[in-house]
Amino acid sequence: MKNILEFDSLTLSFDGLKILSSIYMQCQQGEVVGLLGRNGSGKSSLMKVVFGTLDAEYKSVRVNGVSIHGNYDQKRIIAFLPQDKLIPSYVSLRTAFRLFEIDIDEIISVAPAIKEFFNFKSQELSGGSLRLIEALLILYSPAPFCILDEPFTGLMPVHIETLKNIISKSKDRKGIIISDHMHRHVTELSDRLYLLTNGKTYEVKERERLVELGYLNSL
Amino acid sequence: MACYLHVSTSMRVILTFYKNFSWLVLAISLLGCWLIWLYGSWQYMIVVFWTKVLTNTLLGLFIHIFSPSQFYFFKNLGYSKTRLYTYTFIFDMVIWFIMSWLTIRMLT
Repeated sequence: MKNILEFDSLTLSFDGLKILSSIYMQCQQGEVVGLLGRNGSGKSSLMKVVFGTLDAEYKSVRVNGVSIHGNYDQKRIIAFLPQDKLIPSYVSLRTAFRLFEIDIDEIISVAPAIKEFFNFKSQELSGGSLRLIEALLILYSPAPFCILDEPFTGLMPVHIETLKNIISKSKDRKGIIISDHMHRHVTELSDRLYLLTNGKTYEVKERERLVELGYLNSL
Repeated sequence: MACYLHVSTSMRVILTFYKNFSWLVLAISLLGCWLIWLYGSWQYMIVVFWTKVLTNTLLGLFIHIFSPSQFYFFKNLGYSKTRLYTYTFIFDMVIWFIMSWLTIRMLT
């Protein structure tokens, strides 16, 4: 049976201004779900709420229809790649992968170029290389669901292609939610696409809908 | 076996976080031991205990304000801020207590 992550009835306000109000998203193990939205639309906030690092006034997060409450982070159901740096500067990459219980040889087999970096600390790497490694850390973590917030930021084209291949392969084991301003990469990867605008999510089945909802000027 | 693995993983996570500021908290523990050694009284442990509570709280606040992004890393490992701080504080206090106890033993 494939696991299903769903979240809805989510309300979030900052200083009385409603950021998120009418949300519904679903992600199944075996699919990539894209989340698009303009700057400031609340994509990152939505992801943080679902991951559990930002408190919402109300939220309902369910796995296989069963609501998960409280500190569900202990169960490691969702892994999250934030926009900010993930690996602390004082942690070596080898230590990070060990703590995440990831086989380093497996990582090297999918991305041989990063082999030389494993004894470095995160602060010793370029932003692009580090971003790729952090995305791998999340994609290969044991959690059945991954949320990636702007994974392509700072990556050079060859690394973007590598990451896209790895995301496509990883979806056999996981459900992946991905958000990025490089919308072409997101739409190309996604099996299901949502647009977040005015605090609401809309499922996008035709690309023309992105223009209708004001996300794109033209196709 | 599963319990051993869980404890071992938890210790590795806590040690990773602890390493970040261990030089400061261990320096305070050593200072406490030195005071006990110098004046020959265990009662200095009370002063050092409250000093450690205060410095650990300030350290927690400092990390919370100036380096909050590192918590995503630990949260992905299943450790919320509260759980991480609590376990690390207990770990530090146990080390300090053992150091103080050994110092008192050497005095007597």
